[in-house]
Amino acid sequence: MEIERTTILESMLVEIIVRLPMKSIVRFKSVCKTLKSVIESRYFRIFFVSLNRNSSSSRSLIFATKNLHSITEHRSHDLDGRLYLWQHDSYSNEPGFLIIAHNFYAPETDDYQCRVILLPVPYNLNVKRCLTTSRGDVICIDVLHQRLKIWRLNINSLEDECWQLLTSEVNMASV
Amino acid sequence: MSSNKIVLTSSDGESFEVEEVVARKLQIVGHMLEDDCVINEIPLQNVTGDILSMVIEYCKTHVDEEESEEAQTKLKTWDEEFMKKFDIKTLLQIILAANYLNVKGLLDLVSQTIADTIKDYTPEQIREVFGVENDYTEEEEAEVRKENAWAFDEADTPKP
Repeated sequence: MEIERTTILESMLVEIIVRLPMKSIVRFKSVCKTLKSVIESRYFRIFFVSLNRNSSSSRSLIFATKNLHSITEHRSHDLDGRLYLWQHDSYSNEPGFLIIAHNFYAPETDDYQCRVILLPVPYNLNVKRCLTTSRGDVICIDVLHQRLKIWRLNINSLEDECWQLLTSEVNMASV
Repeated sequence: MSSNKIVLTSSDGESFEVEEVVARKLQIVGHMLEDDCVINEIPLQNVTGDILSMVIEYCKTHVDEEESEEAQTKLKTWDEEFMKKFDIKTLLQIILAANYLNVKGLLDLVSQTIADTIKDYTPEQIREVFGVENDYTEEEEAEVRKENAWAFDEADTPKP
């Protein structure tokens, strides 16, 4: 009897939790171990993706990569649950910074879990930058020589044109 | 055939006479009718009369789901008003009933209503509402919270 009660509770909980915004879902991982493992399960992820197919939030951070293995050392910035920033300085001829994103809620096909994306402005000692998310978009803000640029990541585009410049440059000296 | 009446009886012995088309919205009844079409009284063990009456009210309203946009909007408004009548405890009973009786539309509706209600709850409030026991040790819980710190409002998160 006890087992039956638990099962009903669990399937009912899944029906409810899957309809929450991602932020609430992630927060409720700390309710109990069972809920955490349910939320991290493949079944839950597929369910979540199927319910949110038409909304941008579920695919805000879905990318794919083929050369993950080349990245070994990293420091991570936990921006929206799953967003990491690497300094990739072992290849001096490559742009220094890469962004890689992994989405827990991505459809489970090997190619689309992660993707390495070059940041819009190549690494340069004088560049100050930060990444953030806004309404399901990834936003990159760069300041180079007092000039500020805001970029939005368009995940549906080809790799070399995935950053869209949102505003014209702002001259920080004049602000 | 649609004018056939079927009697649904709750676990506490309350009887409801409904049209067959309404009763068929409860898929559990639909399956029973397919197995043996001469049934006209169906006992439903896992649902009490007060909850069953609400499920039937939903099914009556949704019995002919028209495609037109106007009809859909009207139904949606009705759904919203219907859900406003219940507190979360009752909603949880309805969701269990909708699950048992297999009424997909109601299950979706109640799940979404509860989700909207609890989306800003803390993990502590979730445990209380669902009667879930916290099986983390203090250290484990702190660790999980730390990993997912972005999902907590700043007020709940200890400053680093």
